[in-house]
Amino acid sequence: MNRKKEFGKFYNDNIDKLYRFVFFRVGKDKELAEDLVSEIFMKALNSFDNYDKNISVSAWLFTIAKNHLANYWRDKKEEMSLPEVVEEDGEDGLGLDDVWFKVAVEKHNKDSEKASVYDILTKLDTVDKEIVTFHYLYGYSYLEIAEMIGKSETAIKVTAHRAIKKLKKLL
Amino acid sequence: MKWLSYKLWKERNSLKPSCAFKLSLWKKLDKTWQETHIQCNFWYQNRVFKYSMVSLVILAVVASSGVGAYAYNSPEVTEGTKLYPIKRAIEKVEEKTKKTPEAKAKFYLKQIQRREVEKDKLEKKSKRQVQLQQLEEKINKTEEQLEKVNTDLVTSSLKDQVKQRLEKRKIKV
Repeated sequence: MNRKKEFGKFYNDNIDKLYRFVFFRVGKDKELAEDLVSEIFMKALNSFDNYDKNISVSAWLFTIAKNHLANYWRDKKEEMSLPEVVEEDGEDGLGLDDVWFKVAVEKHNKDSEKASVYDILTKLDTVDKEIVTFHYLYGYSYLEIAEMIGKSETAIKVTAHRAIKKLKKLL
Repeated sequence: MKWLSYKLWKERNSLKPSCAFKLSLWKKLDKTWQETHIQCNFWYQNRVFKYSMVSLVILAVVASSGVGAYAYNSPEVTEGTKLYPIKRAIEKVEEKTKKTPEAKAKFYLKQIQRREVEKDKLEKKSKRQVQLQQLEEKINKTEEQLEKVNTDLVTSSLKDQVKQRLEKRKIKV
């Protein structure tokens, strides 16, 4: 398979997952998510020839996305005010990602009647929520999550299973 | 629990980027890919040009080898003809390939014969006195070279041939 075809496959395999990930990280702002996804893929294209095949493509793209989002927030920090949730939860040690997820959930609650799904997820702790969200909401496989986080696939499966069990109890 | 999985799955499917966005992004990426991965920047790197040049070179080699073979073998190609420089050039290359005294002697004998045939041809035409003189000079020069390698010869039959040739020369002189 030539490099362009490889890149085409890489694009088709990852566009949906990456979009969902970014969409939640920018407080469900569709236009902003599209802009950022475009920029992330452009970065990926520029370094696709140097990409280390020993690491998974999802993990590689996820790293680019995370760095890009971090740069984006750093640049925007002075321009825009952070959501109130940050001020409330910042002292609890919540990361920015978590805060933005909360903002997205709140926004979604206002926008839609399907809020219950997100409400349930917010009841989990950060790691469990991250794994469940990545797997069930964004669409990443257990293996991909394992490669992103740097844990074994089995460990991720176990954590996800326990998280779901926890939710069952909470419900 | 199935209810939660189903809800999440349903939510996941509703959170897809629009087809228009996916398509426009792919077009943008495709364009950038083509700009950054250009291989044929220059006209001489063009595939059509390369193929046509290779064909031309092959044709040139075939054509020149035919002309060269004719120039080398034909007694009609004599001093003053257009193909004569090609003939001389091939002979010079041939001379450089002869390393042993035997090979050199054989080559010089052959060259003398060739010059004599050329001389006959020119005599028949009975016009080119200058060229005949030049040929005579060349024969003398080759005979001198033959005399030099004569001392190193081992093969008896070749020695005889060289001896005959050199005696003929003494008679002439």
